[in-house]
Amino acid sequence: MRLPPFQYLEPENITEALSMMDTYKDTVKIIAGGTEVINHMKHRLLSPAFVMNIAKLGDLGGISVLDHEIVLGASTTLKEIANSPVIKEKCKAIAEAAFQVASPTIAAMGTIGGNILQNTRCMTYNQSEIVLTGLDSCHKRGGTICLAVKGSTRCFSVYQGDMAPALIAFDAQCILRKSGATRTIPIIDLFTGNGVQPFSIGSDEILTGIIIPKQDGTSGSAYKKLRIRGSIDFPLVSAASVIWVGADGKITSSRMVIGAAGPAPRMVEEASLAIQGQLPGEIDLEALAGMAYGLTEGADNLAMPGAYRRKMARVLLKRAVQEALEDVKRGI
Amino acid sequence: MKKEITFTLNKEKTIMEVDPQWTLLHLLREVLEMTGTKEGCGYGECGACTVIIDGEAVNSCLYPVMEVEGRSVMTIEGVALKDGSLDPIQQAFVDEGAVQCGFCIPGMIMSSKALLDKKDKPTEEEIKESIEGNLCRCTGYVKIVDAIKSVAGGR
Amino acid sequence: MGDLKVIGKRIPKKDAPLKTTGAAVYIQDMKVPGMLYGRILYSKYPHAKIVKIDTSKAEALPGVKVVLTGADVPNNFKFGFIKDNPPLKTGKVLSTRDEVAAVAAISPEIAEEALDLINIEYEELPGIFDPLEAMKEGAAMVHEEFKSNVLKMPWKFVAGDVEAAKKASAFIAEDTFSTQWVTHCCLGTSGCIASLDINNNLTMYSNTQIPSLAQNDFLEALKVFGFKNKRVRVIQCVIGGGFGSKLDTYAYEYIAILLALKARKPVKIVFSREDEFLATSPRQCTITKISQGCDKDGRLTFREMEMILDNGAYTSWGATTPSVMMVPISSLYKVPNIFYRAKCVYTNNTYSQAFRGYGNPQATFAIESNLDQLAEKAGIDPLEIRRINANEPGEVTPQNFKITSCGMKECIDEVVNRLDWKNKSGKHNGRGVGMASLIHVGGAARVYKSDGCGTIIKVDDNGKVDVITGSSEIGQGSETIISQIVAEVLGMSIDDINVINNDTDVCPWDVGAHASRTTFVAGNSALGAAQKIKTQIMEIAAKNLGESPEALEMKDGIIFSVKDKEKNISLGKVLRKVHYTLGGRMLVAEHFYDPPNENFDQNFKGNLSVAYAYGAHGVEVEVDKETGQVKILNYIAAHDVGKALNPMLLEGQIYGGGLMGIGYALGEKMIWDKGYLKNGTFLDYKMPTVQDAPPVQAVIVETDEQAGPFGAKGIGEPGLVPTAPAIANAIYDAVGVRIKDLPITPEKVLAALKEKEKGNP
Repeated sequence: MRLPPFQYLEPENITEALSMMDTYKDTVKIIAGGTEVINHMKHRLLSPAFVMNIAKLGDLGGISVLDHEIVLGASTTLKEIANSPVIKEKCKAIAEAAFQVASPTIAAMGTIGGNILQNTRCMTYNQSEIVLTGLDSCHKRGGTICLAVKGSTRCFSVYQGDMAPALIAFDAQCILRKSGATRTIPIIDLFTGNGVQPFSIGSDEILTGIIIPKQDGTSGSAYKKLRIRGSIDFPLVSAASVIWVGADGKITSSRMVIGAAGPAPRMVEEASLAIQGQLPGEIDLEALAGMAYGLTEGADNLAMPGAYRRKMARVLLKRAVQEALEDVKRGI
Repeated sequence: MKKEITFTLNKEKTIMEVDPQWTLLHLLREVLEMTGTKEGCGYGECGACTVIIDGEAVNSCLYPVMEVEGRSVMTIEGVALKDGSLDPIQQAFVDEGAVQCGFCIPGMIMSSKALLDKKDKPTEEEIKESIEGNLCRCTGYVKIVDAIKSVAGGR
Repeated sequence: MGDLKVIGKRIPKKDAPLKTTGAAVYIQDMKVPGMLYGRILYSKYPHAKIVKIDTSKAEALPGVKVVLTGADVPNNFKFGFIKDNPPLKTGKVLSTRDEVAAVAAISPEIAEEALDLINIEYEELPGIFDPLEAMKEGAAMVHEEFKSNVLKMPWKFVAGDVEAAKKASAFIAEDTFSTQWVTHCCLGTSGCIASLDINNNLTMYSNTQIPSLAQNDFLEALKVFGFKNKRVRVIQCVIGGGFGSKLDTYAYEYIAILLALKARKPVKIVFSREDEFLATSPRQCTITKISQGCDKDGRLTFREMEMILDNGAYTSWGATTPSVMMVPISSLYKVPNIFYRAKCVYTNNTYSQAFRGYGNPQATFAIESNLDQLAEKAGIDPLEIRRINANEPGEVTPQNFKITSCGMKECIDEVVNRLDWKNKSGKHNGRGVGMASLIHVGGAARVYKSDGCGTIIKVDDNGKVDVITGSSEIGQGSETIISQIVAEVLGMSIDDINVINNDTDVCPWDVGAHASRTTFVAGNSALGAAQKIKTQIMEIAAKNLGESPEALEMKDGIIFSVKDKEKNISLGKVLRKVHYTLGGRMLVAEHFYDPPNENFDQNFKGNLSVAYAYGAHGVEVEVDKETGQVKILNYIAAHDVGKALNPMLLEGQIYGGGLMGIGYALGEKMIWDKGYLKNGTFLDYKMPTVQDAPPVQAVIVETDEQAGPFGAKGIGEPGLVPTAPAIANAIYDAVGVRIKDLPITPEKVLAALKEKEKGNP
């Protein structure tokens, strides 16, 4: 498969990269590992005029452990994150999510920044050109129809990233830079909820890093992923949970997130409120799980039926919470 | 517009004029005619094109050729010893009956070699993880895992 | 046979070093000087009129040498089993894999770009995608000229009196089962290079499984194209997987020939992965109504099956799968009364073809799932009903199959013991065990005028042996097995034996690598040739040593007197003595083995195969009741193989077949939605990864088949035949729900569990 023509940009440093973004804006596509962009370009889902490689910008890689936070450079590979002792110890769900992305070869190339900013997916969109050619253009391909949900005026594509739900569960922030400005926003705010344009990142901005705040108390976390095969597959639905317990054994705070159930990960805030101050033994897991159900979209546009995926959001959330609580018990 | 890159290919310093639109796989197969690295899908979904770059197994079909600059690439052609004898992992694939049609095998060997180069005695779990992105239709993977195990001394 | 030196040993595959170093040359890797790159444009729509094709822009693209459309196909040429398929379509397209135009250019990139520049105006037509709809009165015709969507192939087999048997049965179970489209997923995609000489003789570099038949097909095509009395040479590259996908000739091959004819240059077409998913032919999906009965003791009384197969838009050899479906339908277990009828129905879907097992997996899924239903009705352990009715040596089945060796009971026992059946079955606690048996052709299958294979053996001056065989190496290891057979006869090492198996200019005829026949037929052929050459060698050596041939033996390239080992001569010396003498000669022998099996008569009776392969699979599963996910905890695959000529390679067939069967049972499905393929990538098509491979034990049961080479029977296909029903039966044992529609996905299991909770069966 040939790649469509493009001009290759190789900035020497972040300042140059930002200035290129300022110049080329929408016409440039950033790659670091390239595992998604190159794939989509081969499928003709993308044909950017410029491709800018930021993999070698020294200041975008690596995991730094600071007093109050852990900072992940945007070009840190998923493999580094999955294997990082500090991530495994402090943020198990994040390591678990990274470990379950695609396959080891992809995880060795793919970066955390790229994984977060991966495009939403749909069986009627992520197709080879030879199949798409006969189908009408859907919302995501610039048309006005939805091929997955007949008659829909909006796009039902699904955000299938593994990392974002786990990061959101840890209340992670992302650093967005553009020429002359930097902003830090919660990762959940990166998402627009619109399948056509899933991210709020500006066309002149680069995601440069992720900040995972440290929090007091004993915590446990877990990431659960529904997929058909034991590797390669994107999540068909996923659940991440983090639970903090105070010295009295009561839950001080918790965050639960459902992924791959719509165009953006969803926080199950109702569930966090419900268990605040409870002892782990008092939690009504079934009730919590039920709260996930309403947040899921379940269109029939991925490898398993939407109705089934919705039900599984419930099961996965329950299991993610259960496992996080077990971690807490073990004093992790 | 061609650009020049310098990298190490199977331990030899290599300078090439490349088109930034090429993938590494294109450079290897079409330009250098090193056809041992296979294209099974072209989308990073089957692992047949796996090569080792700076110690990590990666999909060369998704690897932008410009990104190779300054790096060290090992392909299946660089695995056998200088005198032509097989590397232990290759010999194990032969001896254990891990090869059928063989199309996935170069990728399988590169993925498992990347693991074995880092770890003398990986667990069965680690062995399976190392090749979980490499699809094989012939073998059911059993003898491939056996072959890697036999080199890993884990039997 | 007690003292075998090479046969029965775990000998590594001869081509493995080549494949582990990347030195093996597949069609993808081949280049011929001056060759162009061809690509094919497929239809935008599943059913449409072609109003206009404008190729002018593509033709104007620098580097493009030829652009072809249906109008360029000479003399209305069509290919396929009933010649209903033009390589490039005119007038109408009948499926989204219909070829509408093709280009040849100086690079693959330019060829691909040229496709984008071909403008085709279509008028979309409503399509038929459901065979049941297509069979209805008044349905639109897929091929108007045929006046019916049901193929005129009367697949029907009747034995005894099913109606009477029904009345006499103590228990009857009936149900409907369905199976899905699955595709081969060869890691090496399809491809060819067509090269014509100045006189229009064709050389085809190919990865076909049927070199001799393909040669014939291409010769026929050349004739229709106006080139009479030409030669066709088929050269096989190393083949990156077969599984039946390369058991026919396809449009792309004829297109390559047409492009090469027009360009006067060799043209290579290699499928991209998308092409491979879209434009190769999957296993046909089926709907099967089945009913079986037994007497009060569990003895089977009848089996009645009606089957509908989605043929797709065109007819390939795949339309004959009902003939192989008949093997288990008529002869799996002892069943006196049989009724079977199958209809292949045209639709606007992709057309189906051969795939490992050739219809047997679909039929066995229905039979073996339904047998458990019957066992339950009769209150008999599923294991017992299989033992009671198991096939036995000496039996003649309703289809007139003469059962010679048969290790079915032994296979069942292996499964029972290794699974700990007695302790594990019937618990219904989320874990369960299930089993299913199989019968398949094990001594070739006469589906063509000849079922034979030729071998030529020549010995060179240095005592090395060349074996020139018609059989094809598609990864299964035929090259190694043939070497072992010849090595055993001649008392040599397999390293001294060179197998030539990839060139129709050199190799004798063979019907192809299908029907699990290669070890049996090519093996017998090689055995015959080896014995003939040995006789020649011994006669010459005897003269030289002053002994009678019977007094001599041959070992490690030396011929010696059994009584006096000092009296010896090397094989090379024998050769040189007869070669370098006045009036000298070469040492060459040939042997054509055509098995003594029978074509079916008009009632589909006849001993299709010289021997039959048996097996039983047993599986223990755990079902997650919250998610419906099925986990395989243990898998036993016991196979009666006659004799394992090379246990290591044989296990490879069982493991590979087994996982392919597990994919078929639990996850794989091509999603064709109104004629459009929705999951044509390795990401979306769920072929199993190493993480999906459960622990499998391959158990070899040896029964010494007298007609087989050194006692061997076929094993290429059986590994995936009983997998799906064994798993379905285990799920039923675990949680009491029966999934009758493959694949058994978690959502189906979960939905069935919910229904069961509600009290619905």
